Amino acid sequence: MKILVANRGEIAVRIIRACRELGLPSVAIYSEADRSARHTRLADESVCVGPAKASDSYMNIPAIIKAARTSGADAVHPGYGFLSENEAFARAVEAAGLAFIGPRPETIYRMGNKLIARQVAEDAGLPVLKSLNLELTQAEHALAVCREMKFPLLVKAVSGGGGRGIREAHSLAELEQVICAASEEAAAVFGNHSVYVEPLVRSARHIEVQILGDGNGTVLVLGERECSIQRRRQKLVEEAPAPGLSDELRSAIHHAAWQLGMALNYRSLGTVEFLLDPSGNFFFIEVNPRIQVEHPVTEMVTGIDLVAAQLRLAQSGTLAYQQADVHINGSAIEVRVIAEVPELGFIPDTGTITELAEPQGPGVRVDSAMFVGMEVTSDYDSLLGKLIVWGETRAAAVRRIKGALREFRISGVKTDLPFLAQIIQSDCFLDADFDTTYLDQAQPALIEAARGSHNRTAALALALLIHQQQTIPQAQPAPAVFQQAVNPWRMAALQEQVL
Amino acid sequence: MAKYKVVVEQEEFLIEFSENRVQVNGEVIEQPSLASLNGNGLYLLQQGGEKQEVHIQHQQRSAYQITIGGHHLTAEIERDRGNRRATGSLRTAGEITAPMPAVMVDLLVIEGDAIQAGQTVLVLEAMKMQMKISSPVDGIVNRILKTPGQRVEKGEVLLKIDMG
Repeated sequence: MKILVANRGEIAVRIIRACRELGLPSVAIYSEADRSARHTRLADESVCVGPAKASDSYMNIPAIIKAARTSGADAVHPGYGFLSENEAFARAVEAAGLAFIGPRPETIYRMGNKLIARQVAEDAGLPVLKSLNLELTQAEHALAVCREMKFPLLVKAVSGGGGRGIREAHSLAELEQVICAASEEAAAVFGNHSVYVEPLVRSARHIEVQILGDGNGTVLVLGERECSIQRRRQKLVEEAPAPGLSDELRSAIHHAAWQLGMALNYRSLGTVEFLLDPSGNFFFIEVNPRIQVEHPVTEMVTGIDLVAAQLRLAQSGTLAYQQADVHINGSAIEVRVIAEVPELGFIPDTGTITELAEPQGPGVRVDSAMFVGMEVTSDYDSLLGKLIVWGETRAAAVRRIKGALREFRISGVKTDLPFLAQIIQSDCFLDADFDTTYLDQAQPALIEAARGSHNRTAALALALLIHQQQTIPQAQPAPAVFQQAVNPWRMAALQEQVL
Repeated sequence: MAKYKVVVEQEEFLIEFSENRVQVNGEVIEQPSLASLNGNGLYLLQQGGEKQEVHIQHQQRSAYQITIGGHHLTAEIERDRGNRRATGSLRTAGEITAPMPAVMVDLLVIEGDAIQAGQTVLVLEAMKMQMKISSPVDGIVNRILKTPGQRVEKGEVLLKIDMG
């Protein structure tokens, strides 16, 4: 079975690696801007599908289907983002006689429409937040029906997801304007201007359950993840298992996810997302019918390669695991490494990576597509990669990720690494005492702390360098050993002397 | 004896090397050392019993990019020859530059305005996100080099501030 990977960046690299391990040939697609990208080089074959702009390349359905046909691929893995939750793409893949590695197209459709998804979940017996199951397209209509509801409310896009297209309304007075703004944004981002409202749960945690189904009546629950550390509803730190859940609550949440998976006769990987309120009530939010960014934390604690499981299922139609095979071992934490400037409201940064040191060691994993010389542009998402660690306990995982963050060095673009280090060191994180609003409150203090005293150290290093160059121009900076052909033994010996 | 003025992320440092001592902003520090690790910009800085790997990348003229730990910083350096006029080429704390390619969508000050550190002076928009740019220092707006609607490149000077 030959797999076309319809994505880029770290997830494309991740999928290509799984293909290679299973002995399956892989085909990468790339845009003109990604000719030298890591995924383009790593795959067995690669096909250019269009210009840099995502809508002309990574989201260009006809070009991708054509690439699959000409390369002789048998199946398409969509990754996350781009076309991964696009029903039309899944249908087009199947219509071309190829396997779509993911849920059936109608599952994607039903979970993509948030009102239908809520209805399916409610019918399956899941707790769903009381809301008006109404598509609101006209603000006046909304005002009439929302008079009865308790504020604050969330206004959400019916075709939304992934934390996008959500706005808060704190009073009836501002509701009209919020609905209009949300509706406009929904139309621009998702191509559907319908929105709906539901109550805002205060101090809620975001807990999600990983499911894996064979599309033939079997659904496995692969544990849950805690993803409450979010910035503007975008996850930044994720972990498995979720700390501080009682056994009863954990099994109740798992069971709810399993019920929904069964009701959908779910195929492939999916994530069922829940809000957990401080009194232990949980509510269904949505299903992400695809592999997720944070899937590695589940892999680290279950020992199950989720992408390989997807590929095997597509190949054989059966799962290699049973529920009894699933055990949670230890604790895993992931942080998202993003090219951005925390001090400037987290605006994305661009540039060329000039030096790179990814952390290593036992229990440390880096999923990235970075390399020295890589250009980070504004064409695509600013996620550079993910650092994932495993530890025997949560405390051990925290210590490990602290050390790994110290070793991580990316030159050429600004990243959130210092900010992530501050989150990991914060008392709230250590005590697992946080909810989805934690980062919004703690952000200024964390940014300030992340600045630290590095400016002074940098100034000293630069002054020393220039001073040495000016006073002893011949001796610095490249001693004779470097002018010879690169010899790793000499290099190591030299570094040891220096260190 | 040699004196250097270094501006890192808009913070200014004066570093002095003499026969057997080093001063940062007038404060004597333990003798530091800097050794090249790979001929590719990676150095080991040792100072006061602490070791730190530092990556230094030359950009253009006096501009450098420096990475320490997870921090990626922009820096400028110039030799201070005790001649005040010589400090012409160095970007000082009194400039506001564009952090990324963007469009200026709003300008909240005019030349001659007295402004305070932290005060929002202009708004940029990039990738459908608006960002408020605030002044790093107290001072008087000396020159405005861009107008709303104009595209700006990363690192381009947008506004100059006279710090008196």
